[in-house]
Amino acid sequence: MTFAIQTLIDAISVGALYAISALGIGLLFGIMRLVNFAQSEFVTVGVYTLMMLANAWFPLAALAAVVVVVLLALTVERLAFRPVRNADPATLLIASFAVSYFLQNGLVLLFGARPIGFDVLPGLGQAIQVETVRIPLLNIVTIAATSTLLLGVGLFLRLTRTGIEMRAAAVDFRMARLMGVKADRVIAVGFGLAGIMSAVVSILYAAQTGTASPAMGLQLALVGFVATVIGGMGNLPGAVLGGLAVGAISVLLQAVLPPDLRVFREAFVYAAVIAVLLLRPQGLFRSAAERERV
Amino acid sequence: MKILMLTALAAVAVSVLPASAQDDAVTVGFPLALSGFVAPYDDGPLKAALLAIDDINSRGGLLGEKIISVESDTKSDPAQGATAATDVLGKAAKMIMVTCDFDFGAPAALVAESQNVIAFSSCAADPKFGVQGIGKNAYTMSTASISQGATLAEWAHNEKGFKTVYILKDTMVEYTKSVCDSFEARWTELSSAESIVGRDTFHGVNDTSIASQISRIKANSPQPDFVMFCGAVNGGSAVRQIRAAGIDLPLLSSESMDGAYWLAAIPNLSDFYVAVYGSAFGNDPDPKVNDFVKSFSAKYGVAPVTGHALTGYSVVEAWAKAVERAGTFDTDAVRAELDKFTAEPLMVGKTTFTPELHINVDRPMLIMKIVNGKHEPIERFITTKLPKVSF
Amino acid sequence: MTLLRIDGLSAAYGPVPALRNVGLSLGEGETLGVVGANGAGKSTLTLAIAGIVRPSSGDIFFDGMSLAGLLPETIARLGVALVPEGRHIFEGLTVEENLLIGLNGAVGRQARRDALERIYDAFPILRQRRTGFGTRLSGGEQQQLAIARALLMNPRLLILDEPSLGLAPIMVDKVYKILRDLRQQGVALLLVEQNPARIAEVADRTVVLANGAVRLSGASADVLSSDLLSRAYLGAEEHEVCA
Ligand SMILES: Nc1ncnc2c1ncn2[C@@H]1O[C@H](COP(=O)(O)OP(=O)(O)OP(=O)(O)O)[C@@H](O)[C@H]1O
Ligand SMILES: [Mg+2]
Repeated sequence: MTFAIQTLIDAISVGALYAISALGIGLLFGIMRLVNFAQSEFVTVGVYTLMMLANAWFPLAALAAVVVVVLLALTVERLAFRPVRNADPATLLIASFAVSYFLQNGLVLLFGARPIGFDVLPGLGQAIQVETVRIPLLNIVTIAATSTLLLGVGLFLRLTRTGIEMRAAAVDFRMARLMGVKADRVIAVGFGLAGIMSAVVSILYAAQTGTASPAMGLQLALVGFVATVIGGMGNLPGAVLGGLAVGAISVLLQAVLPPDLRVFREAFVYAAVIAVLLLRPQGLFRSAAERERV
Repeated sequence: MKILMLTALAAVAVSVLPASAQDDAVTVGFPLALSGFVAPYDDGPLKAALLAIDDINSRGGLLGEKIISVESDTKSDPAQGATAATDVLGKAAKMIMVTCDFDFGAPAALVAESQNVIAFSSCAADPKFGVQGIGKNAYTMSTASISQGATLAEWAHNEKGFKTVYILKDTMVEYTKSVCDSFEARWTELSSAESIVGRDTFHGVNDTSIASQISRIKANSPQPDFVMFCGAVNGGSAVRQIRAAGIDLPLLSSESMDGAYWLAAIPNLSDFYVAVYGSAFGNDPDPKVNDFVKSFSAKYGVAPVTGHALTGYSVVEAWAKAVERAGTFDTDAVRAELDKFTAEPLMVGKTTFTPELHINVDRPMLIMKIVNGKHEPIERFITTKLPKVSF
Repeated sequence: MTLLRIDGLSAAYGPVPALRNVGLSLGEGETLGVVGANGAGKSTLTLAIAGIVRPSSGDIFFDGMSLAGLLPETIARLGVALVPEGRHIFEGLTVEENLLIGLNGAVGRQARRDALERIYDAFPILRQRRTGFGTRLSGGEQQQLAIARALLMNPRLLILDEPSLGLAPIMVDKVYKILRDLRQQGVALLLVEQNPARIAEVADRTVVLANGAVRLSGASADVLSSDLLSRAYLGAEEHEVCA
């Protein structure tokens, strides 16, 4: 029982981190058909920023991470993606791999490939004991931070004019432009948001791992991509649910599979993704009602 | 202007001269990962090897010849390994040292094999790195992963008196899998299968969190006496998560967890044991190792990050001894001498090679204990029952 | 006063020419019908004006200003609204959110509210369904939404690409009533239809496109009653002007 509850908490907190990654990927995919693998380096650069400021006052370090990552995201958009904005998705994908490769190797040049340990938010190592279940503070903070962020982004997308424009652009970019929505602005805001989300992921990830290594963001971006596929490309709530689902499924599989099969956990997750692609190419979480008459 | 021209000419003249043409000098080649993702693992062994060359040269060289080194970057790309090896062999290298890993080192070693030149890996711990996997000229200075696992099992059982164990295995690389598997085999011999109270796997890079692995350890009843932790890359992250979850069990690990670079992630880490080649912290029970660390620090300004550096030193040391005994640089003669090494006292420890086995299986490892974030040496130890080597 | 002038406009999709040397003009408050067979180039013409399709040659002037090289959003903000073929209601956005996208010009909360209210008065069904998803409206209602949100852009030129496509006759009546009202209000319209049956109800003048070129142009009544019309649909080669 304790194990079941503990596993559920694990599932939610891992899923929460994936959900933010997926939202960042899903947002940019919706707006410009870009699968932004460079998001992995947005996260990684955030972690390195925190590593360098490990001895600074934490709120300052966190703020620095957000600023650095957002600036990086905006710069990458400006220098790398804007020139190929109207290219086909395959070209965009290659561009994003190139950016990712470039940034990763830049980190290797600057810091070396050896992981660097550091301690950020050591207080989160504490735990709250509820009956027999021990809930690490980090899990609570992760769930709280991701919920807040998702709620914030959700409200932004629902209530502000820019947010509504972004949602419109995410489903039909051309029509949005025909109605006067400025492409540059929407894309820049999209990258800014992806930067903020990556920075939050990097803070939580740094607190969890205490390690900075040049390729550490890759898996998060990959999962984010898988989650958007599951959730339905261009469907933002779907991406979030997809992220939660992938996180939860991985944790649950790890918890219930017999030892010999746990090694193949990833394979099960990806098999599920392929099944989704075959059976519901529009994604799991896109309601039929929303799609009809389009 | 004239001076500039002359200097330029001189520079050209020097650079076009093949190294072999330099009188009274013999070349050792280093086709290694000087940049990229594998570079950290080659860095220490390379620097140590260059230190060994300095030491030999300061004693008058080898067979009266000065040793010079040439380096070529594989850029951490196995495919570039062959190119880099061809490059240094083209500069007349009489021996090459390759990357500390079978997959990354083998391509270079195969090129050396084809030109009948001895190729040493600094620390590839896979027994395939040798006669069976590459050829008769391929050696590795490492202690085999299978010995490391068995050694940790026997030490935990006999010296620590631990009764039960939980095995946590990183499945990303062959090395950690091999360490855990040989641990399990030896532990089962010494104790019983039942005393392995749980086992789990994780992936050092793909698992962004090991939360469910941790929950499983915690749910295990009874709690084990210790956890055999076969981790490598990002192992520090896993240890941080384990300790943050309140698991204070002793953790045992092998040389892939050597070094202090990851320790900042877990301030005041204690009850962590690691079997290493030698202490990189200046407190080895063997004063020779401490002297090495001192001269390494003197030459490079920093101490070696891990004890793996010792393997690099001993590559040059071993080859030089064999050359001296053979009285020639001729590969066949040198190989014959290397294959006669029996408990040869090298910097990295007692080293044995045979015509069939070019990796060490019975060299003691130094067990160190981390107490409050500091490495303390305990003892050198080796399993009494050597594992069966399979290739 | 000429609002829109198109000179020698040609455009192509890769090697496939879609517009050849098209010229036309439209006065302020005037309504121009554009008809032609499937694939004649009508939609391409609308997309070229809106800045989506880049012409290979020729020029488009709006209010005396060349639109060459301007971004679609800039052209939209100059006062050119396109209701494209297929309506393109934003999926996942409510009816009201779909309308809000059109509200670029209105500054201030009150001005926006007023503009929305005026639109709701004109399109009562949209008020009724404003919190529902736009894509859940019926085809005719979606067409009203598409026109309504274009009107919120306060356009000086409204381009409609086949607004009656796929609608039941009663819905077509409704749409055409809206168009007649707009014309009454002095909004210049460029109305594209594949079926020319009802174009004369609103268009002062009509041009017929065939194979990407203007084949026939003149007063709507003349063009539509001309026996040349069916020849143009079949692909006549000469440009005829109805006297
Ligand atoms: N995106 C595109 N890529 C390639 N060719 C296109 C594209 N869009 C249109 N075409 C071609 O350009 C020509 C003109 O197409 P257009 O859509 O402008 O015709 P239309 O008059 O609007 O036809 P319809 O009445 O069927 O809507 C056609 O031959 C069409 O096949
Ligand atoms: Mg059309």
